Amino acid sequence: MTKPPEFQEIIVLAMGRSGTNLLLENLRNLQGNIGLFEIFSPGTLGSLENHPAFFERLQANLGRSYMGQSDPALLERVLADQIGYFDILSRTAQEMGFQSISCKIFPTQASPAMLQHLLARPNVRILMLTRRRIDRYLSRKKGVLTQEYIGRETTNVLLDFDLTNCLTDMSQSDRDLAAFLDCAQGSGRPLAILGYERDLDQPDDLRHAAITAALAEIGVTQTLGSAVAPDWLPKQDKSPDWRHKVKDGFAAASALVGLGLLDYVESAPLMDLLPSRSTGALSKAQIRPAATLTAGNRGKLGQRGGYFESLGRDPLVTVTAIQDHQSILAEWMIGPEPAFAARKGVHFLRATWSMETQPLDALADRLRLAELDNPGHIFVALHVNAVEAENYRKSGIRSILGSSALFTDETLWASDAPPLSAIPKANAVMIAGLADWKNHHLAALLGPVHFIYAAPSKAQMDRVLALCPQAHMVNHILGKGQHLYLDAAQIAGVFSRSKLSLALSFEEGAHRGSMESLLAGLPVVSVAALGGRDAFYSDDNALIVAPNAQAVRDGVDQMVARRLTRAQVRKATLALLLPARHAFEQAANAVIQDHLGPLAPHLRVRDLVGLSRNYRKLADMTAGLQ
Amino acid sequence: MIAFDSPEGEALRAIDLSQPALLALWLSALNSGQMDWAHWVQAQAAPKDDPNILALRCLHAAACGDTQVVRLIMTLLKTLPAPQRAQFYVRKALATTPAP
Repeated sequence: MTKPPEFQEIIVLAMGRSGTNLLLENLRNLQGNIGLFEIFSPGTLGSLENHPAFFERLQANLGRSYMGQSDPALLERVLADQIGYFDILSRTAQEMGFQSISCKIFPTQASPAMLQHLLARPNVRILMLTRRRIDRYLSRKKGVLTQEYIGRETTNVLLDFDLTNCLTDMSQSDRDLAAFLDCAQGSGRPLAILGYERDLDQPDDLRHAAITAALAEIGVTQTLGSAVAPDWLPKQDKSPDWRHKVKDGFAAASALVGLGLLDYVESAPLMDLLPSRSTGALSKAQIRPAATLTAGNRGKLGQRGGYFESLGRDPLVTVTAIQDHQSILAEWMIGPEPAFAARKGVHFLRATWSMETQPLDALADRLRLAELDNPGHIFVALHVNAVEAENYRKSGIRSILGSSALFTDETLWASDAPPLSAIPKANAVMIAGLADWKNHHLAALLGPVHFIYAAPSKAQMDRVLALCPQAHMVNHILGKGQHLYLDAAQIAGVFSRSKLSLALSFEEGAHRGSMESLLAGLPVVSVAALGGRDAFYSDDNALIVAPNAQAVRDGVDQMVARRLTRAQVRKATLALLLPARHAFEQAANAVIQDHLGPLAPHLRVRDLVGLSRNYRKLADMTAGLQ
Repeated sequence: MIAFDSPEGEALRAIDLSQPALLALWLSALNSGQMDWAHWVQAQAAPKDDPNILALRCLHAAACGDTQVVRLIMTLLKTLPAPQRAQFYVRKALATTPAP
């Protein structure tokens, strides 16, 4: 004979205006549960009248009849002995055959001592609910202003913003929740934390998954029938941005920036303290096993190499490449089942080759297919200039201004790196594979020049040495006759043996070597090219010359004669790079916010810096996202 | 950030800020090099064994160039249990504080 499940008391601890009504309403759909609301409210014992049979039996157990859930005598009775009242509530539910009872308590409704007693009950299960500080605060203020806490739409109600009142209120809420947390953790009872924005302010299926996961975390295994937002509980304020909820939101936000507290008010309490469930809530319930994801085509594509970076897991924010005319990530995501289950995502794509002349329709089709197979996910390309932007636009691919060069790590490329003594001095250094299209022939008149390159074929070596017999084939010199792959420090050491660098291809991507040498303080002599490297050139750090060997030699002579210091060149480059990074960050976050809403993670370029040297398999990134 | 000695700065210090608010202020102050604010928050923050506070003390010491303290605290942070290492400011310190 199967042992009947143990009766469970689910207690929700939260601040008012955190979305507790929505949570408690959903808990009413828990199989075998009697769903109550505020059990210790001083004004009305919400929802008792929704359960007439239960209320009748409760009164019998209390030993007398009351006029209703707001009867002052009942309220007085509850206040006089909260523990005793809860005991009778629980007993009544058990007598009626329920498997559980759910209810909520706000900080003002229970002293810490009483709460400690209550939570010490053996069958207590605790859910805490938190919400972004600023949204909870403004919701409460709107409630106070309109005196309507449920039902009325308040989107158009604009509040005066009082900074001191805001910070005082939030600080008090922090303390109240910290006290709740202390009691909850001290009780040793199962505890899970839900976030309003992350878990409840979501489509029905996601909300259902989140609540189910939280219930499972605290050992409640009954089925949650549904988790819909009921008609009686419409969203009161539909504005996604808190700045639109106050009269001068921009000034309010600026003031908070000035105090260094914008991040604080825009975050939710407790999420920092207890991140253990964090993004796992949905994934546990919904994400398919890794084995499924890595099977078949996804498995093969996962082995492809590239510069893949993820900045957030739930929601996902990734920065990956368009290489060989395709997005490996998009290809990997195409399939009968969503690649990341229910999670949403924004995927930035940076091209490894100029997109000015590429046909983009095929790429656009594949991106659309990946988006269709993965609802809630979008791809956003980075364009390096207006021509690329127009090309993307014509194909229906979203794009923002950005370049792989933005992610070059300036700390790796100091202007005073120790020179590599094994390498003789030369005017110019050129970082480029020994392929034809890199145009080494344009360096033929330079005499000694440093070439740094990926492992070449013998034919490539022979061809380049025939073109430039005095060239220093650096990788082979340092490898003592064998090709040696150079790390950043070694390349920096070669830079310190050079006066400038060369970029001679007519078309490629952002040209990593160009930006790296600029940051190391070497000016660039370049030919006009597609790919966007010239976005970071100015009269103070670069010279663009005609595409012939004579012009390149003259350009090198001219640049050497200018005697620019490395500090000057680096400074001129940073003067272009840093504002471009800032603009990209602004544009990227606007897209992220627009797609993922106000709780979206904030992308910071500095988290991407170094990406251009972080080559890895796609599977190494996706494994961390599963 | 606003100047420490400005009327707005004085008004901010008069608010009974919660610990999360203080920690956020501390990080902002360190990020923007406002060491008078950072020193003030450090003096308010308690308890000293809280991992997040420990992490901010590490970032603070790094900002002051106190490599000995950074080394000591980093050793502590690295040996914290995983849930504590996952806390916001601890992650921040572990990720951004250069090895002394």
